[in-house]
Amino acid sequence: MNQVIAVTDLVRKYSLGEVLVIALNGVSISIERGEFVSIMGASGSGKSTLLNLIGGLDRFDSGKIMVDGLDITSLDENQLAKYRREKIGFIFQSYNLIPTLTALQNVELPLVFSGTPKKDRLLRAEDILRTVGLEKRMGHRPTEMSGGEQQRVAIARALINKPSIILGDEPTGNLDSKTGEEIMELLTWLNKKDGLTIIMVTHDPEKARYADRVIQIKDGRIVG
Amino acid sequence: MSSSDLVSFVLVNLKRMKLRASLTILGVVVGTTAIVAMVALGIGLQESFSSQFLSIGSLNDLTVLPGNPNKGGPFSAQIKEVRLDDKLIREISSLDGVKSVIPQVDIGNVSVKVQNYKATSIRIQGFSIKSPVEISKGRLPRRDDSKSIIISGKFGSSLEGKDEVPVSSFMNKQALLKVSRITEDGSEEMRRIRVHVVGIAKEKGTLEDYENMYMPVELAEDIWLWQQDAPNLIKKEGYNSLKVTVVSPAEADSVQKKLEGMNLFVFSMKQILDSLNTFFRVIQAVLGAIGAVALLVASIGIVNTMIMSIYERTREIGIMKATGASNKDIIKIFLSEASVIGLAGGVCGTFLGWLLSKILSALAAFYLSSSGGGGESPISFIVPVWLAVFAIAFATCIGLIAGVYPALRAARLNPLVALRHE
Repeated sequence: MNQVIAVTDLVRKYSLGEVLVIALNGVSISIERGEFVSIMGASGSGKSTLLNLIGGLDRFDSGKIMVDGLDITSLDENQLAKYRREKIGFIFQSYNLIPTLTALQNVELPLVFSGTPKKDRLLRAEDILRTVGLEKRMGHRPTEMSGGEQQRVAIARALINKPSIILGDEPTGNLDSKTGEEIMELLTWLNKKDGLTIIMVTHDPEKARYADRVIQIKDGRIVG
Repeated sequence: MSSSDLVSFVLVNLKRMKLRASLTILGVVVGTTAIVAMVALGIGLQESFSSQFLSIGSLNDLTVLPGNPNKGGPFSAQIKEVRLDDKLIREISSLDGVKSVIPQVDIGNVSVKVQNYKATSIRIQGFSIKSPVEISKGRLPRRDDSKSIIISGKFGSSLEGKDEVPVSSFMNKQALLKVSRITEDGSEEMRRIRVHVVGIAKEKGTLEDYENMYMPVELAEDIWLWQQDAPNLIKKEGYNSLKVTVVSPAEADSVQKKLEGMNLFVFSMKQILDSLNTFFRVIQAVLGAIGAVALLVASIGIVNTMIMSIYERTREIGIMKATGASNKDIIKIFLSEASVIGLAGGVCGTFLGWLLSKILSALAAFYLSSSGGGGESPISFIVPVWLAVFAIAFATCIGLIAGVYPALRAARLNPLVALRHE
């Protein structure tokens, strides 16, 4: 078995004003390389928190996260940035593209931060944009594209650094159902074709069905 | 993140906030213009003072008086003074860097008549054959010939009652010197001395070029002693002062030190010019500081603009962090933006400051000439290359420093919080 993520006894608390919220209360999960996993739960269940912690976007109070044999618990900010740059590809509900940059520039952004030479960067970004079916949109800015197209750009951006894991936080949440299904099919195709590990947070059972495995989370605990 | 990526990033971002960036740059422009124009005025003042100052005397000349400044100066009676005699002159002449030593005798009330031209107040300087004046025409007096004189390069240009006559027309002519003295009973005595003009001194570009007469020191002494009515004055008390000429202005300081070591009081143009220059550097610094205040105000504008821009781009910063930007990358981006604002303002401001300097110089010259001042304008603005380079570098540094706080703020943003920012 080829385990890519091992989360053990993860606890994340934060205070909302006077109230202490326990977002994750001892979560342990294990994910294999090449798996497509959906994390389902109601809003406030802690599913996004789990995703963000795996992605190294936030700190946790106790527990342990191992990704690709790397313990991210002990990483400092710079090491976390490197971790995000090299191991993680994020896809967000609201696409999170930079409005002043073209599709191509948005896709090559992670490689800009990793210091990849411009020539290599362009070749790779164009290649990936073709893979997600946007060869005609490379010079367009986000505002000139539909939601589905923007999300494809975001997927291309997530793929460009050849990450170990793709983390999707409600990637179809802002899309109509038809476009949403297209995006899900693209993700499934990438998962099957390249053996890409995908963890997707959703509250939509329709979309969760695309995954190999569904993890249910409720009140900060895994319930199934 | 490579430098070229950084540059294109910065340009895209500045283009996006075009109006705000322009206004912020304008603030820097005003500050830089102020600094450049102010310092240019200071430099211009220094230059015009220096050039006027240098027309009085040469930087090669030191005037030596008996007495040491550290021991009471030339006017102190308590210290036994070193006598300025021939032995001392020989001693000074042998010092490194000394070109000539000429005893100075102060002869007043001398008038001269050459051909038809008369001058009533001329200056007489003696020289010894061993350290003669430099001549441009004619010859030096022979050793035994004490009645031959050299006239200065612009002699005759100020002779009374006449238009300017070429100095060469005096060559090889007889000149009649009239020297007067007041005797003890109050009556005026007159002595007439016939001399022969044998040479013309090389022009020095100082006041010495006008109505100056160089003669063998024996003759000058003779006239002086007669005028003082004290034949043994030099033997008893020595000369009043010596004029020591050094090989180059660079030698002036070391020769001055040596002379002071010999318990002499030394007065040099170089020393005065040096302290004058120090004074003007202070003036320039003060003027520059006034300009710098404007730039400081502009730097607050930069901080403000950058903080606003970071607030608006919070989400973008979150995106960059999520896609792998390190804190260092974020700091670099915002520091570069602030520096570019400073640089752009610095370049424009330096150009404007230079332009303003030209305009103000021209206006000052026009005003002075139209009000009948004539001559060279004493107010000029000078922008040397170092000032332009300094102003641009300074403005850029101000931008960089102004960017530090906003950049750190941006880098410290929690990526998750930043991503949720609307």
